[in-house]
Amino acid sequence: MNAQHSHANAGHEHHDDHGPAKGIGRWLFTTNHKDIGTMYLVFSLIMFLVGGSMALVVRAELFMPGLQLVDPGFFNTMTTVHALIMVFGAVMPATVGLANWMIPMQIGAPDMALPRMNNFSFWLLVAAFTLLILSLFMPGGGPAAGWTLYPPLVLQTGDALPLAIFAIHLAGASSIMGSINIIVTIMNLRAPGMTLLKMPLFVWTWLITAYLLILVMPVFAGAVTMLLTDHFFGTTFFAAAGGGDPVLYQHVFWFFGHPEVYIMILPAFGIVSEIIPTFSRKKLFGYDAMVYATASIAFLSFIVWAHHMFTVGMPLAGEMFFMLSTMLIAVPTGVKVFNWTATMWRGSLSFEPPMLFALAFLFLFTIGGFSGLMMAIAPVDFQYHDTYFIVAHFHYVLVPGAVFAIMAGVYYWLPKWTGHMYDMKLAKAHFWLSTIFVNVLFFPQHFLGLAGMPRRIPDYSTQFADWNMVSSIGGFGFGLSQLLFVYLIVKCARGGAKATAEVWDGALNHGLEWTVPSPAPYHTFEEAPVVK
Amino acid sequence: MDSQQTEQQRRRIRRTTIVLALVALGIYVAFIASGMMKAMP
Repeated sequence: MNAQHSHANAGHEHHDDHGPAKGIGRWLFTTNHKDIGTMYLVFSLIMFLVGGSMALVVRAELFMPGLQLVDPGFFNTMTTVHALIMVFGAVMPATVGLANWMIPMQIGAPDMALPRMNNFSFWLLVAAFTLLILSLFMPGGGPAAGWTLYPPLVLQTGDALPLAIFAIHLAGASSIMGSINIIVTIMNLRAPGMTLLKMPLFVWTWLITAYLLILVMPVFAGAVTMLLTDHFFGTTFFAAAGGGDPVLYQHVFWFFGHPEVYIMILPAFGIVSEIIPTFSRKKLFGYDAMVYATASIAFLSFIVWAHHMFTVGMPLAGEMFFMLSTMLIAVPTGVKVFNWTATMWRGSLSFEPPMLFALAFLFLFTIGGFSGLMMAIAPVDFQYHDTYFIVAHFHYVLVPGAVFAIMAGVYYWLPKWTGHMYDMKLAKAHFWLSTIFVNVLFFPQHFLGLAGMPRRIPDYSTQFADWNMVSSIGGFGFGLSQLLFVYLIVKCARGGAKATAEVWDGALNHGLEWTVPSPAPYHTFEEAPVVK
Repeated sequence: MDSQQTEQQRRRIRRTTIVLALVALGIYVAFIASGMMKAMP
């Protein structure tokens, strides 16, 4: 991509006189996309550590058979709140943070189209998770019915239920506002010459993700609103005794829940599609096919939801439909994996930390994809359902999948944000420790699931002891390794070798963000660059 | 970009925002309404 980018630097000089505000007011009232992106990223890192600590409580309890550390109710609260925090508080805000930072810079826009709403949607998210965490201290304990909040079990939750549901509504409103902002920005503020099919893949994947969010977050909000009225206002949406149907909730939830998985993984695909070409010194192989594959995955995500509930009992035709439509997702996903591999083919590869994480993503996400294919087969899923095999599958997709891609993105763009290079040796150590421990943590869970260990239990039969112990060791290893990541980011933000504008050798050909100085000026592209 | 273009762009941004917000609200209401239909005796 060629761009006349002298404007960017000129814009920087022009704006030196009114940089960021001073003090806490800068962060409370900022409308700058870079500040808001930073706040989203810091927030998601904090949530990642909080949610991760909850996972460690779970793994500590499961280290040995028998009840040792926490009572079973609290154990269930930990599995539930860990999931809610990781999905809505860590992974999604991290990708929103990256979107805030990078989308305006990648499309040559001066900022997001709706900057005040951008600030509001961030602070709404903080309020949502403050409420969710406070719900742990309500009489009766925190929500403990699993992140899916299935009735009738969830209706037994104590005073935490309305608080958790309110938190979910706030987080949903925040996501919808963020998505509207992203769509409006991409559709209206692209630089001259930046046609849709010239946009970087990260922008494309986020555009499609934002549409998904707008279409499915209200569905989840509707489902939890109905839970709330069932609990407090005597409605019977999900109560069989009053003419309702508990399985209806599962349908509605998964109509949201499956696209939600793609909401987390599509931006990850976008990040990896930015990194692999840069470190292969080649153009992305099959750009158009990547865009169409992303759109196909998004479309298919709406017609596969019932594969999460094969065991509730449904007509054979229904099982066949959901089985085959689920398997169909392997086709566009395969296109993506093929194109990433083909991009590297005969490339001039180098293995800096972003590329290492992107490569680990490619291998390990594919493992998660394959186990997903296994579960798509309805009769086989009857064996796997609600076992640790499911836990292994979705953690492979979300941890070495989405989380590794986010880390790859942070390592890729951190020098552009801070103006400093980070400690490469330390970043590589973080990569190797994370990659080894993530496999020690999650791979044995496949064996546990195949042997029949159910999920969401604090105690288990002694036959599952060995692999649980291994998995817990992996969990603590992975958790501790992340402290290196935190240290590295703080160290890089505070100083280090000066980063050039291009940062990575040859990056200039891979996006407008590399045409502005490092650190990126507070205001970029006041005058739009012209993309050729 | 002249002021007329800027105003046009603002209008487009406002229009898209309102349409998307209404879509989200419509889906929320539609799903609750479909739940009510299903739960009716």
